[in-house]
Amino acid sequence: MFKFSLPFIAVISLFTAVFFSVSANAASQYDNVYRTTDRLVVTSPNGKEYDVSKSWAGIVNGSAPISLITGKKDNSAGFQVQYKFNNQIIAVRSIDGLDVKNQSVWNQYTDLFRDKNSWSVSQQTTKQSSRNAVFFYSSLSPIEPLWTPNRLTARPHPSDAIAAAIFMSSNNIITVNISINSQPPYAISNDGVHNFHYDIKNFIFYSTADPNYPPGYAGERFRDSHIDKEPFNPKWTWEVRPSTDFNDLKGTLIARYDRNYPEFLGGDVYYELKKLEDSGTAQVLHTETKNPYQSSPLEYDLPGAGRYELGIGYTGDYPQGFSDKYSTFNSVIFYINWDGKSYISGNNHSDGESCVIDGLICGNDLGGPLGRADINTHNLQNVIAAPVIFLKELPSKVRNCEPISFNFVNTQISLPCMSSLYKQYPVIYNIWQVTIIGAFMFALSLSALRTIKGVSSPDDDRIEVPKL
Amino acid sequence: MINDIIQGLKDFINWLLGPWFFEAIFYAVISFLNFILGIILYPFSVLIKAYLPELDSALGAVAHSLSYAGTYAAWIIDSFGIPPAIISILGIFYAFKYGVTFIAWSSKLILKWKNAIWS
Repeated sequence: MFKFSLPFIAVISLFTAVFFSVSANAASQYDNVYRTTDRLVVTSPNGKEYDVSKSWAGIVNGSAPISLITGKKDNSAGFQVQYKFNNQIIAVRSIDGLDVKNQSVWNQYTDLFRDKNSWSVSQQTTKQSSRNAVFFYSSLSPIEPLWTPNRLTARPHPSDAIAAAIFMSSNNIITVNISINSQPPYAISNDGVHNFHYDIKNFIFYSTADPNYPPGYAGERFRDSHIDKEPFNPKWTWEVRPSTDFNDLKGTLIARYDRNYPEFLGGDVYYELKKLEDSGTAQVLHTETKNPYQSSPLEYDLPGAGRYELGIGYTGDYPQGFSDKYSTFNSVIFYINWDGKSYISGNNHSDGESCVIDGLICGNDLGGPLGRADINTHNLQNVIAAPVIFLKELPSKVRNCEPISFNFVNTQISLPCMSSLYKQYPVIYNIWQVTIIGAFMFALSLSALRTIKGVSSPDDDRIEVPKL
Repeated sequence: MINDIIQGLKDFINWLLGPWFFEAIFYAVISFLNFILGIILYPFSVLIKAYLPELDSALGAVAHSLSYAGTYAAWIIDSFGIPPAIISILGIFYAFKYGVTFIAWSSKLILKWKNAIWS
């Protein structure tokens, strides 16, 4: 039955892969209008940079809707910002720690507001676009985005009063845009510039309501809530294999981003391999940046025995598509026994399995016995130990299943791991797995009872030899 | 839910078998066999490496090919929806099975010797 099931699975995999890959994202002319970022840096005119990303954690509650923001230079405390409503100053904030010397108008605004209708607003600027821009809205109710192919503006809900926008142009000149009573926004600015819509490239927009998107819109979505960021580790696996150069059987480290992990959304991954010396110092052996989807895994010939540290992180500051998380550089330490031929492997997301980080084996989870056995592999011994090593590596390989690729009639065919497709039907998949485990445990229980019954006979001194 | 069940089973079996006893025996046997094999085969390994480097490479390729085959075996197991925990449990089970057999056989052998000497 087994030999018939393989072609069947291959055919099914091929069709499902083709089926699931046939999906095209609709694109509209508005898709590139809205951009947002989590990496927020204000660059002062003297070149000093301020990372204001962290300021998102603090939402100031209870602030009144903002009608006007003006800024002026404060001789003692730096830059001062006034928030007014109906010409009444409702808040004055001094921005400390920024070098505003010799600058007439320049500052960062890091305050966040939320009114009684839970409308959060904020502004930031970024240097990731060709032009710095700041966008700011405030309203008693969710604002209404106004889409045009080249820009995005907004106005308050017809029943509402106020929306405001602040823009910071490339030369760090702040302009303020106010909309009152649903009228088209008009501009006031402290430098007399009124037309500023053209240079909006990055802004951050919060809305508790589902905003209206243009038909066919496939660009970035507005965020609907403020979430404190959480650390996010790339999911990856690693192993040490004999080198593919059979004349020089040194261990080769292979590390790859786990593409099957459901949270993978793309982006480049940065690898860093260090050799840890006994003196406590670390020598960087290799660094590399790879795109997990477009590149082969990281492969590096280890120079020999010793302790190594392998770290992987996103090259960006946050995983693409995960605005509530920030990336951290995650590393494991592993030990090569003698000449790099140790067959060890591991991962940083063992899903509940224990993983010895600073030990001999990480990720080999045959319940311990095989995983902890130190199996050296000389050439002849290598052959004898190969089945044991095969079994030792198998659980880790199943857990980190790799798609199979091969050429067929000059066509590169890739068969995805079927479990990633099965998991789209979790109920059926869980029932199937419980059934398998149940049947398996039943068979094991019978076998265990037979073993105990066999050894309990006082006259029976037969030895059952493992059938490797 | 399935992960909880699997983890519960593994915890139960680990507790039942005891990571300190059968596992230690299994580990000791494997390591002992490996050690003995290493001593016996070491001269041949040195000779092969020194005078038959091609054979050395070919022997190394055996393990490498099995490791390579493991990728496909893992894909097949994954395709059948078999949880990897089953393989782990299988390893634990055989540690238990051969551990029990080994202890029982050793005990009987000791008793036989004892009876033979003292009778």
